[in-house]
Amino acid sequence: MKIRILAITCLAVLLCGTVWASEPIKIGLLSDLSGATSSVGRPYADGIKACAEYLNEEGGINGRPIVLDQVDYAYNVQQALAAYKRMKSQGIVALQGWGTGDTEALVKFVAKDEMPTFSASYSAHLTDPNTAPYNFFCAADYSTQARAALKFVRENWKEERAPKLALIYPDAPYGLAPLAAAEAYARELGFEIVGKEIVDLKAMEATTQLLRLQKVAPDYAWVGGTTPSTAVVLKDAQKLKMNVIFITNIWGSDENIFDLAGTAANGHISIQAAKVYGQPCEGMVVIEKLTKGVPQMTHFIRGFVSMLTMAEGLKRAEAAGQLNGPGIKAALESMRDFDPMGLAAPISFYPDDHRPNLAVSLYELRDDKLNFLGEQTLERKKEWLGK
Amino acid sequence: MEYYLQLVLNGLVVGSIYSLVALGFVIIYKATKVVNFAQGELVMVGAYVCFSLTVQAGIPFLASFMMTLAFSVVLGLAIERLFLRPMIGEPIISVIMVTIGLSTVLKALVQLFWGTQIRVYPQLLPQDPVFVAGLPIAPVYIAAFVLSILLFVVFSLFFKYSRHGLAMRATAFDQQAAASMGIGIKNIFALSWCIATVVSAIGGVILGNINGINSQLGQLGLKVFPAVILGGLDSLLGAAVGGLAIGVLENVCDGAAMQLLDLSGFKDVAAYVFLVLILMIKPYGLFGTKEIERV
Repeated sequence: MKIRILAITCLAVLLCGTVWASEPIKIGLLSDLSGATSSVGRPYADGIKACAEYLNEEGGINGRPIVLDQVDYAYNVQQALAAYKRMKSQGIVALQGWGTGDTEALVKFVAKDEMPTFSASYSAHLTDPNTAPYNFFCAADYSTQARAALKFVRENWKEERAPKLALIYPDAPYGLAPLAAAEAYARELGFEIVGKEIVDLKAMEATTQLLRLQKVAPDYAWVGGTTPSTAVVLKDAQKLKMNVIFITNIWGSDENIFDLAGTAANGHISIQAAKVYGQPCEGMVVIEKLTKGVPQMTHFIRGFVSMLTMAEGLKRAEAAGQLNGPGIKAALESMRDFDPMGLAAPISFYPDDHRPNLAVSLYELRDDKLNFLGEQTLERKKEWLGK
Repeated sequence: MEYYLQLVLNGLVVGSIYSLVALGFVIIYKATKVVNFAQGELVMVGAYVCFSLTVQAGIPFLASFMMTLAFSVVLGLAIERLFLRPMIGEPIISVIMVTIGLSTVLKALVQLFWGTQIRVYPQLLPQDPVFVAGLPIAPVYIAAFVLSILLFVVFSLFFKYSRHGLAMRATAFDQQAAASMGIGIKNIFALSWCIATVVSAIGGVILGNINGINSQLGQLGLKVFPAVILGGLDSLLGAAVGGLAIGVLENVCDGAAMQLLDLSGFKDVAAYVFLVLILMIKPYGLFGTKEIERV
């Protein structure tokens, strides 16, 4: 009799265990599918969803499937806050966010709620756990991106004189975020800064600004806009026959730049933080299978990497029996050189430093393709954290 | 000096696009006294329809363009019949709210049918600049300039000399009096919406050729609003002059602020600063009708 009771108890525990093990893990997904940044927000969200699909096919998080609770907040901060509150009440354990406005608005909430949050806003201050303890992202921050690109071009500068640099940016948080860092590091590297110009994200032309730059003849110009505004700059520079190489920020050029700027895109440099579709690596094989060989934008790949990185944190936390905010945060902060299947540079987070890496991929825009130029990795300097 | 000449020239060509969109605002206001907040979205719809016909259906551009204009006529009629006609006699603020709602509906429909990705027209005009007085201008801007001038002339003649144009002016002046004179107010409203959608579609196609299209194109409506207010809400000449003036102001003020005061970023605020100034002096805009009421 005792043996029977013991057997029944064991079976019950086992069954309960199975039920617990297969209980889904809810992740919130704030996406801009119809708002101001939807042209890049949608592919990024698609990348996250594709990764969740892949992970579930592979057994989910230690046997537990990932369920994404997606909300289109249309790039509206108030909608994002409302959606986050609803998601939280419905039991999400982590959040995949999106833009600068909503990420900034949520920083205090996610810290208070102990909600690990990934986003595609790469402002450097989000990497400092003192001010944003629950914020993470999977690409080098904007400041690091600008520094790395400048270092790359400085190392490849052949002439005796100092290279002349101009900075073109929109007067918006995204455009301004890396400006001071880029300027200071450019001076440190021996660039001569010859001009700073504002080009709005919705600009129809940029002749006024470029005419001024034409007078000071920069060798390089860093462009901190988005793909449409960059296209305007490139086309107007071609019109004015300017001999300058533009270095475009991570949202400043993508696969659309060739359609928008035509031949004016040729020869310029695109800063990226992940592989582009078709570049060989383990993860690309998976992505090509998931997307049936239909090319996706580089933003899709970064969305995929973001979910892959978060999932690694979830796996570690789940294995430790700590699938909660502090547990996931600790798991992420224990990550050292996590390889996102070759799709991006290895990722490490530390309790006092949430910079995923300081590696930046550089591509040359030419012949309708993003052609890999090289990768630049910077030293993890303490004084750069959060700046 | 050449620097400022280039700024003026550039301002004129960009301003001509503002003028084109402003024309749509004015035509509707002139006949119906309604400020159409869906003007930018009408630009967007026209651009997407022409894109669909040219790129997705593979129809030659000129045929696609004509078909887009025909579609715009139908769209204008549909909007007027479905949304605006039931509002006749209602307070003007309600009608304006309808246009705001319409802008959301049109944007949602565009996203439903075409998604949110950036779409690009095939290159119709050469990329190499044309030199005007030794200053480079992209051919597409010259096309925009010529088209907006042409449309301004056509509509000026239409409003001045044609029966329908005169009827539209009469309706705008006093709907009841016009109706008592046998003018079909409903037909006039329909006509004004048709013309406005057609003009907007032309603007959309030009913009699509300049820098591609996406579902944010509708925001141009707000960008153009200072030009409409500056010129005067009910003046065709005002729309043309207002658009050109804002285009030139943006460029010249930005250039001067940078050169003289070392201030950058003036381009995006210049229009609004000037708008406030002009409204303080001439509240009805440069060419708008001054309403005088006997109290």
